[in-house]
Amino acid sequence: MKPRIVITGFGVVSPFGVGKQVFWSKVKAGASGLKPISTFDASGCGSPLAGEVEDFRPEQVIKYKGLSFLDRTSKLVCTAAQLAVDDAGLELTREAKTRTGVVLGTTHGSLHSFSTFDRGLMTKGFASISPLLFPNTVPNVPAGHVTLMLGLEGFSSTVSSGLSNGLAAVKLAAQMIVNGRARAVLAGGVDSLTLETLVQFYAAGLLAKPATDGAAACSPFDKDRSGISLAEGASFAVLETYEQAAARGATIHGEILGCGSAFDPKAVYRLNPEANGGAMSAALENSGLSPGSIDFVSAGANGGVSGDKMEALGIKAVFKGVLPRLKVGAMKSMTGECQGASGALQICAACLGMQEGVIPPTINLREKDADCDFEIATELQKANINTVMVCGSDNSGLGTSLIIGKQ
Amino acid sequence: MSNRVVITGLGAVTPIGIGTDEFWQGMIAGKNGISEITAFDTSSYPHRRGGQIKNFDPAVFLEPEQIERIGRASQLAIVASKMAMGDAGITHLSNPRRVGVSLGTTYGEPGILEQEDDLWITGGPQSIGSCVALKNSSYLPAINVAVEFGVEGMVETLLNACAAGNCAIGYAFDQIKMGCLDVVIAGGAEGMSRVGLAGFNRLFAVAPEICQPFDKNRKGMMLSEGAGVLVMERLEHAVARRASIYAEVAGYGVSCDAYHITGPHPRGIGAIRAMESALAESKITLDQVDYINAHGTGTPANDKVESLAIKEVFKDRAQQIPVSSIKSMLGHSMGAASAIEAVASALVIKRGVIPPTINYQDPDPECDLDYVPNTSREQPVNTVISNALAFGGNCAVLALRKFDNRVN
Repeated sequence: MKPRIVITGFGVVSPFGVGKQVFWSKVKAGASGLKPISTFDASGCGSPLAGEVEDFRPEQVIKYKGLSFLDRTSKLVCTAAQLAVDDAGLELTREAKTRTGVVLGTTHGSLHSFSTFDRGLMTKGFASISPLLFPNTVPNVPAGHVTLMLGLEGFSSTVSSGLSNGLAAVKLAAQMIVNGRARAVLAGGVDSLTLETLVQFYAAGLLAKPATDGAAACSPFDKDRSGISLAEGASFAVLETYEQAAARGATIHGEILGCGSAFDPKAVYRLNPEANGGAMSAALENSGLSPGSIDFVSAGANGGVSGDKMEALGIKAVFKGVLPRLKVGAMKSMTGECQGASGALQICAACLGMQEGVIPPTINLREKDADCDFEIATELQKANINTVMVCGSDNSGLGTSLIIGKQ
Repeated sequence: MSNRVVITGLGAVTPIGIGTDEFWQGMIAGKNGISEITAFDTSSYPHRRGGQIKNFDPAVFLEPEQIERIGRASQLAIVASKMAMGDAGITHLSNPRRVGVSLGTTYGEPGILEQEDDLWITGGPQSIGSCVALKNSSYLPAINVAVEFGVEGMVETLLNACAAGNCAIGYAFDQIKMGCLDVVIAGGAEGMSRVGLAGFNRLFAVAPEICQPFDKNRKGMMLSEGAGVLVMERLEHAVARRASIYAEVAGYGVSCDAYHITGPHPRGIGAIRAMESALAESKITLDQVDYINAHGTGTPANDKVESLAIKEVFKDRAQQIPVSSIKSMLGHSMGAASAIEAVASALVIKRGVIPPTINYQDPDPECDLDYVPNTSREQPVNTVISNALAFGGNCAVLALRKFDNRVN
C-alpha cells in the first residue's frame, strides 16, 4: 500500500523576515514584502521593487563551521533548514539521519557565485581565484551544506525547473518517501536576490514595469499587470511518512494527497502555448480526487503577463463546471516571486490557512483579467478549507501542482 | 502497484565516439579521448587537457536556427536523445502526457553563462541581452529535448553534480515504476566549462597528461563533456510495441556522505550505503554481480575510497568482480558522466564485453581489485552495478540486469 506522506514542519526565510510566524502574520494582513533593493545597485535594471530579506543574520539561527565562505544562497537555505527541523521537532538521531534527505529547488541559486568567480578569473587571472569559493559555483552545493550542517545521510538532491522548482522539489521528495528511499525529507527551495539574477529577468523582459500612476508593482491576475517582481528567500516543508509522524507524536500540518507535473512543448519558444492545466490534471489524477473536491487553489501567478494568463486558462479548463465555488489566491502578490522558495512558502500558507480556516488575500488586484473566471479574495476571508491545490509554473511551459489535505 | 522498467534505446555523444556504435568501438578498443582543450583560452591554467568533443558538428544533426538559439549542453542532449529515440524506434508519441524527460547536469549551460560574463566585463550588466539570457538556464537541456519530441509529461532537471545522470535515471525509474509515466528520455548532458576547469585546477584535482584511475601514480581527473541518454520504458509498454530491450533497470540506491563539500568520506559510508540500497532493491545478490562500472575519477581520494567501499560491500568476492572506469578514456563529464556510464553498462550487458581501465601501469596497494587493465575482456555479463559518487557527498548507484521475463 502507498504510504501516506504528511507535513510536520516549516522553515521559512521570506521577504518578511526570518521565521514562519512573521511570514504568516504578514500574509494574513495582506502586507507587501516589496521595497527598493538595498544590497546592490539595481538602477541598470530600472530600479524595480523587490522582495529582499532585510537584515539577514544567519549566525543568529545556525551554528555552522565555515559559514563565512558560504554564499547568500547557502546561508539562506541553511537557516531555513535549521528552522524546519526545529519547527517539526525532528530528532536527528544517528539512525534517523541515515533515513532523512533533502531536496532543493533553485532557479539561479549559484549564478551570482558562478559569475563572480568567472569574472574574477577573466579579469584578475587564474592565480587570483579562491579554491574556497569555487564550490559555491556548483548548484548542488547549497543542499550539500544542509546535509553537512545537519548530518543528513539519506540523500541530497537539487532540481531545476524554472519558477516551478520549489514544488517540483516537494514532489520529488514525496516520491522518494513513497519509494522507500527515505523516511523524512526536507523539501523546498532557495534563491537569493543578486544583480546577476535580476539581470536575467530584466534582459528577458519579464520584470514588472515601474509604476507610473502609483499602481502596485506586483499584481497577479490584474488586467494591467506588467510583469514579475523578483524576491528571494528559502523555505522547507518537512515531509514524513504518517507512521513516523504519528509514532513520534508530531504535529501534522497537512497531508500530500497527490502531485503532478506537465510540460507544454509549445510554450518556451512562444509557439501558441495552451492553458497550463496539465500539471493540475496530473495532480488530480494522482490523488484520485475530482476537481469539485478542491476548495482553494494557491496559484503560482506572479504578475507575469503571459504566465498568469496561461495559469488562469488552465484553472478554467481543469475546474470547468465547478468554478462558481472555487476560490483562487496569489500569494506572490505579497511576497513577490521568491523563485525556488515560492513552492514551500505556498504550501506553508496553505496548511496554516486550512488550520485557521482562512484564505489570505491577494493584494494589488484592482481589476481582474477577463481570463480569471473565478473568485479571488482581495481581503482575508474566513472559509472552511479542506483541500488545497498548490500550483507553480514557468514561462518555459513547465508546471507542477500538489494537492494538500487538511489534518 | 509496481512496474518493471526496461531500457529500449541508447544514445551517446562522447570524446571517444559520437553515436553508440562509435562510442562502443572506442571503448572496447581502449581509445583515449583526452587532448588539449581548445574551447577557450587555457594558457593561465596549470593543466589544460580534457575530454573536449572536437569532431562534434551540431549542423549534422540540427537545424541552423535551432543551433543558434540553444547552448552546447542542449545540443549534445538533443543529439543523444535523437539517437536514443531512433534506436528505440519511437518516431511519434501517441500519448505525450505519459512521456517525460529527466536529465542530469552540473552547470546546465556554462558556456552561455561565461558568454554573459564576457559581455558584463566589457559592457556592464546591462549589455546582457535577451538572446543570451534565454539560453542559459540549467533546465534548458531538458526543456529543449522535450520540445524536440513534443513531450507533455514531467520534464525535470537534476543538478546533483557528478551524480546527476544517475539521479535523473533514478527519478525516471521511480516515475515509471509508480505508473506515472510510460516512457522517459533520461540521462545527462554537460558542456565544457572554463569555470569548471579553473576550479578543479585550483583544487589540484586535474591531471596533467592522462587519466589513470586506480593506478598508484594517478594524478587526478580530466574534465570532459558529452551526453548520454537512455529511453526507459514501462515493460508492458515496450513489449506491446515489440521493442528490443537492452537491459532492465533493477534498482537504484542513493545516499549522502554528509562529510565534506568536495571530498568523499574516508570510509566511503555514502558509497557503501548507496550500493547496498541498489542491490537490495534489485534483489541482486553479491554473488550475481558480474561487473562494476566504477565512478573512478582518477583522483587519489575517490579511487581509494571507492575501492574500499566495494570491498566493504562485496567482502570476499570483491577481488573476483571486474571493476573498470571508462573515465580513463572519456574523462569526467560531470552531470553527463554517470548517464554515459549507464549507456555503457547497458551495452556491456547486451554485447558481453567489459571495457578496460586504460593508462593503468602500477598497482596501488590501496586499490587492489581487478580493474580490467588496459584491454577489454569478453565475458557474459548479466548484472552491472554503476557508481556515481559526487561533489557534495551525493552518491547514486544503479543496478542493471539482463532482461529475463521469468525473473521477478
